[in-house]
Amino acid sequence: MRIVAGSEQPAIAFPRTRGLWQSAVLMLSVLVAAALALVLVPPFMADLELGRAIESADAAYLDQAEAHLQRAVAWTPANAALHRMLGDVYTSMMLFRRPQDVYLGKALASYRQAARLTPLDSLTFTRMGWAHLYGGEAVAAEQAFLQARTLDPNNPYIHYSLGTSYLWQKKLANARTEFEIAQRYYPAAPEIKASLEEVDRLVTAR
Amino acid sequence: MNRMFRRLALCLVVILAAASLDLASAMAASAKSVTVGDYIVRIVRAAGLEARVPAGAGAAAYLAFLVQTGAVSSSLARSLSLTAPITPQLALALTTAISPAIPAPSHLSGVYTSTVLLGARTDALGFADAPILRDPRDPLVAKCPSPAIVNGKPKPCGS
Repeated sequence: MRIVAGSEQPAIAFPRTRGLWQSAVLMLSVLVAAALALVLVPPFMADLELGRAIESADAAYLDQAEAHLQRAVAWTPANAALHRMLGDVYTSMMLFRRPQDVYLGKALASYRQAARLTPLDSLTFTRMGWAHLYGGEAVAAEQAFLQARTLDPNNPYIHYSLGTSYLWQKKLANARTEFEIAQRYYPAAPEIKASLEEVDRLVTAR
Repeated sequence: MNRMFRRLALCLVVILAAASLDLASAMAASAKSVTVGDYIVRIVRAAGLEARVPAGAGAAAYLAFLVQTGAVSSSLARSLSLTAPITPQLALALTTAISPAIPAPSHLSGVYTSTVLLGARTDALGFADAPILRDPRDPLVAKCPSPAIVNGKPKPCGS
């Protein structure tokens, strides 16, 4: 121990202060690292799961896609796009599996959750409408598509979708109007052609 | 300096080679048409039945499974060439045989519902970009969120 200018304090105080500062900096670094980990890890993990889900869905492994998306949702529950994609997976399952009403219920629950999180996303309402349509619920589909059209009035896919819900309810004039709007954007799309031909056929049959 | 330049040049060559390989594989993938075998495998997977086919089995085993379950008749199975490109008619026949019916209203014709539902089902199988039903140059997909209206007319998507 070194004694400076008649006092015992300064020579030993400086190293102690440095030790305290080092501890404080270390503690702060650990806290910042922990905070960063808490902020960055969930979206990173969710993104990882999302990538795996897309890969699985592209190869038609729908159960795997569902599992990956559920894990992604568990990491970031407020991500509306993940809920919508989960709804898409259930809608795909509905097209190939029985009982359809079970998958329809799951799809609608996911879409509703997505709509609660981002109420201005027209795509969620469009997908919700198609799920209703595949479940044979054309009136509910129309309501969802109308909501989507309010949010995105120039979207041809929404016009085509709304036209389809009208056609399924035999509202032929409304259906034709919507299909014709969609056809102005996509003149050669086979779905629109088939839909307009169907309207013509039903009008002639009357 | 000279060494650094050489390293940079080497990095650039590696990046360009990787990019061209990626582009070539992407072009090859897009040019490759969907075969009957691919379609059958995907349908079985989408139906959640792949666990009932031996792991790592080829398309022939999937087809045999469908014959075994009665979803596909043995005469249809014999007529199928698993390596041939899928046609809309065959895709429709296979999906109709395997998938549950969609409760579409009775006033709609079979031609209409099959066109609309086949499009949805091929998308669900992961063939959204494959030209099974639609002309890939004119896809009806939401890639054009809200096109501008020019002089009172909508500006076509992609233009």
